Amino acid sequence: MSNAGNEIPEGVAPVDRSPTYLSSALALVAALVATTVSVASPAALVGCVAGVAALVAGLATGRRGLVRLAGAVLVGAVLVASAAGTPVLATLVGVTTALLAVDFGTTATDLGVQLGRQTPTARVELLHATTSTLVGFGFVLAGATADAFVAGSQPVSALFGLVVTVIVLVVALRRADPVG
Amino acid sequence: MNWRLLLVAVGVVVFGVSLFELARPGASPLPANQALLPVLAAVVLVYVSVVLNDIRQQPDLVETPDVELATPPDAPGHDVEQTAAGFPPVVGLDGEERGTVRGALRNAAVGVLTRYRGLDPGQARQQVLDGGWTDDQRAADWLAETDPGSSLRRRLRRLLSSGSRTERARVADAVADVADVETDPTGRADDEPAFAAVGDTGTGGRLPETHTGGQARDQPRQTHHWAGVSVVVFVCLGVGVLLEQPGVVLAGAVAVGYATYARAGPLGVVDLSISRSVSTTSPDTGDDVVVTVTVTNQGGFCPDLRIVDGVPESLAVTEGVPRRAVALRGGESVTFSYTVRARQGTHEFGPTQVIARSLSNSTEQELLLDPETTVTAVPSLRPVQEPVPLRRQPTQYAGRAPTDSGGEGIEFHTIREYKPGDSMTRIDWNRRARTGELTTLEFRRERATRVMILVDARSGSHVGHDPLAMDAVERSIGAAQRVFPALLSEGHQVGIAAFGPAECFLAPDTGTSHRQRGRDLLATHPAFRAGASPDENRRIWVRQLRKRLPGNTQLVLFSPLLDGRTVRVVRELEAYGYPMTVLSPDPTATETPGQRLMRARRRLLVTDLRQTGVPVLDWAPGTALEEVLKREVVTR
Repeated sequence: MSNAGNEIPEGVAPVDRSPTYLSSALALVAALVATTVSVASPAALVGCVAGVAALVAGLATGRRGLVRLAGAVLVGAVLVASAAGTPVLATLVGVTTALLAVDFGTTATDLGVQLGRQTPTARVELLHATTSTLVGFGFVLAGATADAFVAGSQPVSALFGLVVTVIVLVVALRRADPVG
Repeated sequence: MNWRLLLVAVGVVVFGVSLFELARPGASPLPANQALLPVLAAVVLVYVSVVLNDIRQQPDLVETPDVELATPPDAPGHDVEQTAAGFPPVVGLDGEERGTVRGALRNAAVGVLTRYRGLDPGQARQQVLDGGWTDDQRAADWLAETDPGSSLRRRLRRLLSSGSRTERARVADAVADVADVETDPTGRADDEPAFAAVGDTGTGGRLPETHTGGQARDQPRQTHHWAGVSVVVFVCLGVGVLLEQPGVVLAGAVAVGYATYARAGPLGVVDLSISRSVSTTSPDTGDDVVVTVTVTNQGGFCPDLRIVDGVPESLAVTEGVPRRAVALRGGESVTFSYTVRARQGTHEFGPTQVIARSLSNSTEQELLLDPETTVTAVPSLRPVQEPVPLRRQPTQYAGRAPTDSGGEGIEFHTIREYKPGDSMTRIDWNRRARTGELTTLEFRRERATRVMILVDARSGSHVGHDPLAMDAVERSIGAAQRVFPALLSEGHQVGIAAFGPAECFLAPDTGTSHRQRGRDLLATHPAFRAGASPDENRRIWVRQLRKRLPGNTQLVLFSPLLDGRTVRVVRELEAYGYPMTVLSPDPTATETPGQRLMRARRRLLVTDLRQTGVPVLDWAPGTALEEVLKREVVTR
């Protein structure tokens, strides 16, 4: 020290706790895929654009809630597109990528909040992203297969029973562990 | 009753029946009425609102402190009210209601008017009560006692603004203006400093009191990363059934997949070990110290470990990042390093914070691993290059400080009548030749002095003008580190003590080992650390300090001089026969009205102390210590 006066420690800046770049980029890619599969319906397209805008805003401001809202808007838009008659596979991919956008987006915000942007986090981000994508597309494949095999008109009673099954099981899951 | 098991059982049974129904339509008791489907969809969508309500009540994520930063010192003068209350009471004024904010601010205004405008207290008080002391009419009106005049607007304003923040701030600024406190161009009109409040800057506070083997772990907790995925399931099923869209119903099934994934792969037992090494544990101040941290996974695969090292609160990171996010297989380790700039003192590293997350991101657990590292920085010996302006005072030891008594020396002092035994060399032979009278010349006796360095390290002194710069105590200690060897090399006996209730005392002495002891004491004594000084009765610690101070000692106090109590103690010690010199690092800022008022208050205190004959060396930030000492010598 040159004197005992005011020495300012160099390179001191508060931690930048904005969302990490890699997961943010992946979230945007996922949201754009959801948009692409919904182009058939103009109303859905408007919804998707709104969803992407909300996602960008959420990632720019680091707000987890806004990222979630963006996901909800995207899912809604994909369902609208589905009602307008997009193929089953497009709906499956759309919902999956909308969910992935939220997954990647919240990974970005959480990593940002806990570690900050300067921290090397790519390995963990890629691991999460790969696993989530594989899980999602595994279920898309299963769904598409089921659709191919169980095509045609099915009895209402059986559909009723299957829907009730899913609801009861999800409620059971939530009772055990309300993580989702 | 175990609801979950019951629900799963019901689900399995319904599933089986549905499959049977698929194979043989009409054979099962399931209702085949098309009208029931909308009812089912409605029930599902209603349930969505229940789930949404659950999602809203989320716990927060595990937070990580800003370990990169050193804890910034606050600028003194948090609020106008407290700062005004600390102004010294004006002598010669009675009946001043200092208990109220208005009274305290009036006292402050009268105080600065008497010192800076040369008014007597009565005149000053009258000006304040008349409202003619400042150009700021609103401030003047608020402080004035009398009827604010016939103007309805002024009356209303006074009524509405009684005690409002804006009025107080304006009065504070007007008072600061009288005391010639310069306004900060980036200054603010309210008491909110622009520098965002920095939270924790270390991990030490996170470690619970009871922990085993330097490790502590919190319970795993939900991150709610997949919150809302079951909403998607229900919405897809509801909408799909309503619209009879198989694609939408199947999309619901995909969402069920994620709901299951969120619960799959729970966080196992995380077993980590850590080692931390530093390039040197005893650097010089200002040196860069490289810290290397290695975390090893001794358990199973950990897909997501978020590591934040426990950089000491008192040190700032200058290069690299003390954080990492890694995935570690069993037996694998990660090593990372970063650089901190050493500041004077002992710095203990906090525990390393690790947040372990499950693969699906849905649970996290906080672990604290404490490898216990300490860095002690002692500055190299660099005595100040200017003579330290001490007060004149005799002791029995020969030295270089001029005293006020005559004797042997160089500088002429007095002439006295010859006494038998006086040295031949000191007889004034010129006078003898002129008048025949035999007289003896007296020279100014040069003697060593006993000096105690007192450092004000009370909690209120850990303040600074800039959040990124040193606080007043650090500057005081830095200066003491340079004054101490300088005084020793001038031949004085020098001791060191804390000015305050903390126990820290090094009796005056000389010699090389004493020099080393003093240097280490200043650098490492816990009394000088922030938060170390207990709040104690002033009378008790002053009495204790006085008991320990040897007689015939002069005191050099390093203190920011922020309150009247400090000034009273200085005057008390001076009155007890300890000649005092105060070197005062100025920690005041000018960003908010409270801070500007504090600067005015400190100026007033410094002026008051100087008027009692105690030299005060006011040390502005950014000024070299030598310059301050030189200025003092020149003005004497």
